[in-house]
Amino acid sequence: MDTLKLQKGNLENFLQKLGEEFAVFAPVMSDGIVSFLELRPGQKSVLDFPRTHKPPKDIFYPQTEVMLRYGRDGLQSTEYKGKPIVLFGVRPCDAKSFILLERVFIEPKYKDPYWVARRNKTLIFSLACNDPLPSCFCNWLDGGPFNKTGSDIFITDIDDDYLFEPISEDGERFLSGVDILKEATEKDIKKAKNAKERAESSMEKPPKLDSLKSSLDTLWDETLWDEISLRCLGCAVCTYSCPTCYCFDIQDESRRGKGVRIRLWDSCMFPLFTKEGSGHNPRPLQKHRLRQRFMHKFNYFVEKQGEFGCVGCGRCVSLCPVNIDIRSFITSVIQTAQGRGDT
Amino acid sequence: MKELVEKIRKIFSDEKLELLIGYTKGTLPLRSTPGLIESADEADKLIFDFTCCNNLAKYLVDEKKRSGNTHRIGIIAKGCDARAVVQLVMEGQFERENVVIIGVPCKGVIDPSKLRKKLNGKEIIKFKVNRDKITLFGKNFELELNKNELFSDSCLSCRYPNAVQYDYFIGEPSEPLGVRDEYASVDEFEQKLPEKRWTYFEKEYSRCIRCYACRNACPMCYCEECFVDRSTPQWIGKGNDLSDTIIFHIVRVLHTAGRCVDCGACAAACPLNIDIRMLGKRIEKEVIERFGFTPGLDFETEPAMATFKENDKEEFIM
Repeated sequence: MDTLKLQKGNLENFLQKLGEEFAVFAPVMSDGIVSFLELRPGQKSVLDFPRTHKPPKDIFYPQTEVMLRYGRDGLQSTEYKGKPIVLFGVRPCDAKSFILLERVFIEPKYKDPYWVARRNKTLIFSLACNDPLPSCFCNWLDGGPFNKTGSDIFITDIDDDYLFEPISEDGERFLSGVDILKEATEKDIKKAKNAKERAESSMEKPPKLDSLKSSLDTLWDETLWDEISLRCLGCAVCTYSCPTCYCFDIQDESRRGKGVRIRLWDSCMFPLFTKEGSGHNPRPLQKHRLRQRFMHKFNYFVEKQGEFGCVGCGRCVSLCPVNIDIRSFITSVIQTAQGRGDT
Repeated sequence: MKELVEKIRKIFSDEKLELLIGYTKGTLPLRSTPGLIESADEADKLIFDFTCCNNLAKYLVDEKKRSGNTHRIGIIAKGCDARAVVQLVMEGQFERENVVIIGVPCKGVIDPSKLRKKLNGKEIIKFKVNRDKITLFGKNFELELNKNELFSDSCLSCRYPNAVQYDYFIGEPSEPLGVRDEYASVDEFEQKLPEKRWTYFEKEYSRCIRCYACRNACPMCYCEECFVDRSTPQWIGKGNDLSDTIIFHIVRVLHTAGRCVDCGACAAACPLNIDIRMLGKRIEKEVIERFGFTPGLDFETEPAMATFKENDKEEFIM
């Protein structure tokens, strides 16, 4: 199927129409913060906003999720039974994050019913980044501003129009039934190609990360963890703003014979994260906790899943209150290992 | 910067410091990062300018927890950092003789969350300062602002830009940026109807994701275990229920009453630009009016919450 296009002026109409069938989530500005919210009638999405403050993972994996309700009359499931979902305008890094998260939430042995219930009903429209931000580093991690991984339909902004390119079968099926879209011309396709080249060449050349995983194998006790962890505040800005962090806690909240079991985001940065019932904490220092975060993303995840657990969105880089920059960390790991002749 | 580096190097060896807490250059334009250096040779990494927004006193407490109270530590201190150090000494967090306060003149620091708001999602690659103006350059945009527009609200009403208590002072003391009525915004807010005030707090705190960056950036939040982390028994819900979130913020602000030095580190750390300062400023006003106490100014006055005077106002006690 060919690439189609939508006049920018028709976007609101298009989304409105989508809303009749789907719960449409798109980047929305609310109190100065842009995140993926369900579009209400008449509400505008801010598609040109470079990178949402919050990652879209909370659509499939909310920060606080009721897993079940209980009372004297038994248990009630809270599985998602709502409309099918459209995620509109997800940037390529975030679209790729779903693929990584699914290695955890939909792996052959364990399927997370809460994730699956929403994810299986979702169509992802990802949106190319014509202007990657200076803190973006998707191109270090097999991604890119025009990477199509994780996308059902890939949108490119070409001045007056949006191009819609079907990527998955679901995407193709969807596009074939939309009247408002016209066929893209060769000139349009050329424009998109130029935008891609411009965007890719605007990013700095990435370092080679081939040795990152094996470098980390040898740096367990290295002083580099000290230097970085002494500055670390131990807050959860990095983990909560991360599209690929998924660790959670489960708690019961009950009152007068009824209650809920909730699942909530947790962070390996918190001392409580690994504190055991006995009071013992296997990761007593911030250094251990920080090491866990980096090892999980760049070593353990690679070991288990075959790729890095980071998509290079740059949110942690730009939001860390003390400017701990994961990019500098990556390069210093490689340099330290090389300096010792380990790789 | 050269003067700073040379003097620090000398202080490092004269005072036989084991650690110095200062700032080094960050990886992003207009950002610095805390720098903890262990020898005088590393002093040339240090900087001090309007990007140094973190309150370094926080690291003194961390360091004490890490290596006991015996280290001799130097700290580069803006007015607010120095006040926090004084308050921490008064609270018995570490010995006065184990900390060397090196005052630096502060002319205001940039609040990263204000910068983010101005840039509306974009990022800069460089900037240029021309007196009171700053020009920000991005990949394909340019934005000229008054520096004041990026400064922390705390700086804009700061009375003590220079360390009041110090062992060394490097540079010429700064003038305050212009203390207007520092409680004007609190007073104005208080005039509003309760519903309006509630709507405001609801709007602000409903954005909170409970990342605790505000608490962890705060030099006064040093409890061994914060009440939100208590699990035996658990004190409050841990999800993002608004009432739990607001309880966290209210208790934090009450717990820092008469101790908060209004450094603005909490607001600067918040990734969601929440107005954390309003409640704290209101409490600060209360403490000044009732007890005439401003934390962190000297090593003699007993902190407001640690003392009792016969003439303390107590009409609020039923």
